[in-house]
Amino acid sequence: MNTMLTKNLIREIWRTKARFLSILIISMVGVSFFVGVRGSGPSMKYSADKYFDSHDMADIIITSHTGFSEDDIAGVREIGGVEAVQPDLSGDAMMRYWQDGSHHEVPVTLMTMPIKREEPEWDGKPAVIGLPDADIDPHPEVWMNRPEIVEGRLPRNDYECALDYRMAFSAEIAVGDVLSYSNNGAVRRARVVGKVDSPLYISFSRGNSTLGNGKSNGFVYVSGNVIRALGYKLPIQARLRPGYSALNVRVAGAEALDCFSEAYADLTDAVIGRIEVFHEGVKDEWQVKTRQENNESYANYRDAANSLGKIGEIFPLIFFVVAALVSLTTMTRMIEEKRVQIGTLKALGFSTAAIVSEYLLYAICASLIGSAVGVLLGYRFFPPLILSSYGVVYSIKPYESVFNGAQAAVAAMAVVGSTAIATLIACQKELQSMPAALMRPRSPRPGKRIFLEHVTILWKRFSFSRKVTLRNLFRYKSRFLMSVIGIAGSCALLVTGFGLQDSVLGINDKQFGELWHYDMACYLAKDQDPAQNRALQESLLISPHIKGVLFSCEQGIEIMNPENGKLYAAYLVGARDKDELSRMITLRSDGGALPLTDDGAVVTQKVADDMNLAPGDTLAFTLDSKEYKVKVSGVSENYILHYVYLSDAYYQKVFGEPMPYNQFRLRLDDPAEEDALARALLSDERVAMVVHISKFMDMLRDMVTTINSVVMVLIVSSAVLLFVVMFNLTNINIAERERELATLKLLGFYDRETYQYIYRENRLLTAIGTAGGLALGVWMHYVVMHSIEVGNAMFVRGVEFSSFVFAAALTVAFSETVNVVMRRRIRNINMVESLKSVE
Amino acid sequence: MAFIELDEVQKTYRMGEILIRALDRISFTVEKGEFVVIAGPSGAGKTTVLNIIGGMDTCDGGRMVVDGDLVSAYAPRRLTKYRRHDIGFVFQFYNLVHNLTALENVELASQICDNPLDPATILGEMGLSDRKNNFPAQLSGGEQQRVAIARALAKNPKLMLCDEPTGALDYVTGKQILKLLQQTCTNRGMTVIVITHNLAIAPVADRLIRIKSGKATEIKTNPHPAKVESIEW
Repeated sequence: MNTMLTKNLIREIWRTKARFLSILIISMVGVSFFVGVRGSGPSMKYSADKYFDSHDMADIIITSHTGFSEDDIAGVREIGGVEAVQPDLSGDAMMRYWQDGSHHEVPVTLMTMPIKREEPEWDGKPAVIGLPDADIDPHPEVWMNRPEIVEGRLPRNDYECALDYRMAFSAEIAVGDVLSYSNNGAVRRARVVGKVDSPLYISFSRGNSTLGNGKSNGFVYVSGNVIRALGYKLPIQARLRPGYSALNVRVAGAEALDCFSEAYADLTDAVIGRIEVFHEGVKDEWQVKTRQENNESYANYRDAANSLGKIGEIFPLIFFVVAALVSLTTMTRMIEEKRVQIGTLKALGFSTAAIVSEYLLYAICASLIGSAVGVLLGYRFFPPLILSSYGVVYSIKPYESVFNGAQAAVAAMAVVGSTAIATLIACQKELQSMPAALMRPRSPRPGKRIFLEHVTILWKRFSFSRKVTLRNLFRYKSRFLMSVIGIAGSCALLVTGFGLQDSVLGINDKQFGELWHYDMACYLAKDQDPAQNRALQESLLISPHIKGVLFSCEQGIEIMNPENGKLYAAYLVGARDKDELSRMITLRSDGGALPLTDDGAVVTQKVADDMNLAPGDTLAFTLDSKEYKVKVSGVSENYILHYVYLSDAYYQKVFGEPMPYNQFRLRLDDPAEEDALARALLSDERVAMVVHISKFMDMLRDMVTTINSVVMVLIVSSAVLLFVVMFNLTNINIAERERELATLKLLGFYDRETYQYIYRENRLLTAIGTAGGLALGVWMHYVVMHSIEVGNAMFVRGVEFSSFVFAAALTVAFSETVNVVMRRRIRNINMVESLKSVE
Repeated sequence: MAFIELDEVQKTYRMGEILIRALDRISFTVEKGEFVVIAGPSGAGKTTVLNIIGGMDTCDGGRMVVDGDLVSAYAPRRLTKYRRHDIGFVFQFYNLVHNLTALENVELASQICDNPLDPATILGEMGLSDRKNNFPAQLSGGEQQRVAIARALAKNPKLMLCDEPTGALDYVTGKQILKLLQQTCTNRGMTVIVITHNLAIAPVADRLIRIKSGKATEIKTNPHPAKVESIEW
């Protein structure tokens, strides 16, 4: 290209820094957001996959009520697709430790170090009765679900243990401390030799226990002998048989695959199918599960990663649109300013292409540099920011950002492309004109009556300044439109961001404040005779601190949506005492309270909405592989998990047998009594497990924290976008009206009055844009909510009033900030210079 | 005492290393109610003088007194006030606000003054009663200039400054405008200063000041100024 033009371009960039920068910044924000948020989901998955692979996490976990023998292990090993089988021993124990001058005892989960086993010889004889040793194998061939050492080392004998790092931290236990473990009357002591993290426990939750208050405090790695001595986690009958509590299976070829991919799922499912076939017909059932079926944290993590991806699909588009608009207005203004120069160059004989190239290069340079910086920011800044708040919850290390070159390229091209096209559109008119026409200054837009003037009743009442403002706005229609769209778009993004916070944070209050009123759910030991239950019920009713007792039935069921095959793991809950049920659980919908009738079931909202169920419709589900149908009598508001509630009479109708009571729920008068009460209950043989509602609250808290970080990012980006849009458009506004403003100053308008001229317009634009933005935000929020609703939870629908106020307030605040920043520009308009040029 | 007095006024512009003396210690006086013509070739400094008298620009040296006030010492905000109440400006290119009708353009100015004249009346006196609701784009050059004059007058200023008021108009219309200005001067006792490079206008003036290279080379008073109709160019 001609060197003069090159010099021209560089000088032009330097001279109009603000303009160049605004295109640059807009491009940067758009690209970084796109790349960053879209990249976070895959990065999360990639990091997790790597973490799991490096710790050799089992692909399939098999559990059974009756345990596994060496024969079982050998049998599974032979199944096609199985690369390795590792038996597991785990058990509950009470751990005693010293802190703050007293002994503490908490329930923990014992996990075994690799067990030294001789390869069993298949001699056809039944398994040996008696307890073989479970010594630690110092060099195991296979070690799945390997823990990661944070401090110290792993145990080498029966008198050493390694603790859950988080538990050790909060209990202030140090390496070298001696702890004791007890269960079933047996006690074992072990010295802490290390602190570890386990891939099986990636979030805060540590699972349930049959001891203490029913909540496991953490996990402890010990030798298998310790676990055997204390009695491992099997029903009483099975404890006499030798064996293992679970089998871990590694699937051949699975490690190479991304564990969150379809291919992995298919591969694992195939093997699961074969295992089920292998064990078919045998009385003691095996539960064969994938990673996510077995591990709740894992499933939650995956859902979180997916939801991030969904946000990344929608929002960047809005940024792009606004960015394109800003580029269009900016370049249009630039071309207009250079009319005379363009005309001159044309007159000199430069080709259209040569002339356009300056502006095209200007725009492309700005957007290209912006995109490049955006890609950098997007990958360097966003994922670590988002992931670090996930990191508070999830212990997956290290987080690696996955660079998706194709994605970055697409984003950059889209931004640069739209800027280039905007430039060409802006150039079009000018370049078609004759040089002479260009060198004559453009005749100013003629004043015109606006339609509002014809509404004489209104127009008469307007003050002079208001008339001027209105006419001005309509005079520059295209800029008016772009300002409004830009402001509305950014405001809508803010509404969505704040609204997301509401919807996510609101769950806690709604679910635990308004819907659920019970404190504990206790599960009865299986196979009890009804007489035992009655006695228990009576003893509970007279117990202090218990305000209400509801004996109920809770069974896991599976609902399938016939339209898309999606599965929902739900719970069937039945009770006879309808009054107590309504005191424990509020069943309600918009229409008011929902009573539990004897001819229908109440289904919770998320499932019902997804499947378009209304009162009167039928819902099909499977329980223990058998299919049943219920009539929907109502849809109740519910935010976490899925439930189908029915009365015992209706249960009888549906299942043809009386409802079994396997659970009771308690309302306490003092939540502080929870732990003591749980301990007392668990010491009763009839009670197998106690679940604290506070556990659910923890689960929610995890989810909430992670989404919050994304929301923060969204809000900040929207704010930046808003500011850049307003700054840019106001800049252009002033530039175009320089002559007018100079005349005003000349007539003797004080600075303040001159500012008002521009301010009034900006304020009106902001008002219109904000109004539109709030409305648009409602829609956007709805769309995003639906996309990111994660598995088991439903978010609070709707946006709080306060969020609208925040969004509007921020928009106005930025608008005013721009107004203030623009003052200097207006003040510096040189009357003499501005009026010199030919009109 | 003179109504306007410029005493050794200097104005220098610096463009990089180059120093441009727009006004080089210029001195002259103007009496109240005079019709003054300031003439000179391009670049002589006429517009600069007008800008300084009109409070649009400040001088770098010397003093300027208008109606007893030392305007050259005014701070920017005081200058705005000065422009607001004491000065009426008429430009070569009218400088009307395109989005406002003729009447509104005049109202724009009258709104900010302490005791303005009625915009509609003034427009009427300019012969634009039936054009007052038209936008500038719908008015001819002469009509636009008349609106500009009306705007300047509506402020009820102490003096009117006109920078090449007839420069963009044809001969006939130009003469009309000049006549209007002369009448304003005579009928209202308004001090009117007109800048031009067209010396043919000189006979109309009560006082003629010729400027060359930033200095006043000739100051002539004319006890019997000619009527506008009698001059030709």
